[in-house]
Amino acid sequence: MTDSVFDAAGFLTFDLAAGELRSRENERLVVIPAETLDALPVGQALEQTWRRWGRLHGASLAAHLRKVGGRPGIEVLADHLGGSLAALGLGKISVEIRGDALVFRLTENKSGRASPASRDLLSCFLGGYLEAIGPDRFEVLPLDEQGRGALFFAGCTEAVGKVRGWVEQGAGALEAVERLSKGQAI
Amino acid sequence: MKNAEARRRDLEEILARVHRNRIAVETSRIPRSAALKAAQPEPFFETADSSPNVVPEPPPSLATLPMPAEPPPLVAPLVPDVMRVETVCAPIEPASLAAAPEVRVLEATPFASRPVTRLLGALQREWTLNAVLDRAWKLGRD
Repeated sequence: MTDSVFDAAGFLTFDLAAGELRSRENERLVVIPAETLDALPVGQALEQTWRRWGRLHGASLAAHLRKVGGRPGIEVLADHLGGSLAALGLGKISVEIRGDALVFRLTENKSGRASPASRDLLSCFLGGYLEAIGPDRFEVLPLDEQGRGALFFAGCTEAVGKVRGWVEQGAGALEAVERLSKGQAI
Repeated sequence: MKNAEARRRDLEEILARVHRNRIAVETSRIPRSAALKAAQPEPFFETADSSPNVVPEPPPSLATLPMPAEPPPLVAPLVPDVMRVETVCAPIEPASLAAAPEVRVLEATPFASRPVTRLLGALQREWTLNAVLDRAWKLGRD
């Protein structure tokens, strides 16, 4: 049986009598077609909402870690974040540590799309999630990579700016991340 | 005093009223199922007077109906299929990760095995959550 920190059982509660769907974090959810997300104009207000949403789920992991104590390994991040995103229907994510760089990879599903949400909104979710489980404010940058899903680089504001600049100058997504790692003494 | 014609009309009226009441009484005796059947287009002109006085069989009692082995659920089970997801599982070890075949897991609880965490850095480092986040945030700072 699993020793996962993410428990799918009870993650969603259907209260048909009240006409409500809630997550374990007691946020009220609505089942809508994924295409509806595309119809929403992405702006600062929506991005802040998604960052708050990510913080809510990151706080759930943080509360769990405070409860169990100890020094959890990095796998709890992929475990809890991956479970939460999957249960919310936002995609299948894995965590990649490249040197010191923290990278998320959303795997494309059968529809050929990694997530029904835009990469900008998912970046906000991931940034809020990381912000809630640690002391630092992370920025998350969506990166292009051909054929292997969507990549997201997470780092401080300066690092995100550097990676963005290199990508805009023509560097590949992972090349830019590795260039950042090589500039850091290991 | 009413004349003979007036008394004749009164008598006809009384007889007509009795006749209507009788029809009403007969109709009220028709079982509901038969009444519903009578409401069907066929027979179109059948009335209580012309219909045979047939008492339909009473509907079967609920107690005599065969019961299914398990009562049907009041609400369709929503969670199992909703929560069914795929995840790729592999050991958290770079050396074996490349050679490890991908395993597809289809279970009601999606993460019976952990999703992939690829550790491509040096194995000698501290891989606690806090240490990784700390190094990731410090990376690239001016």
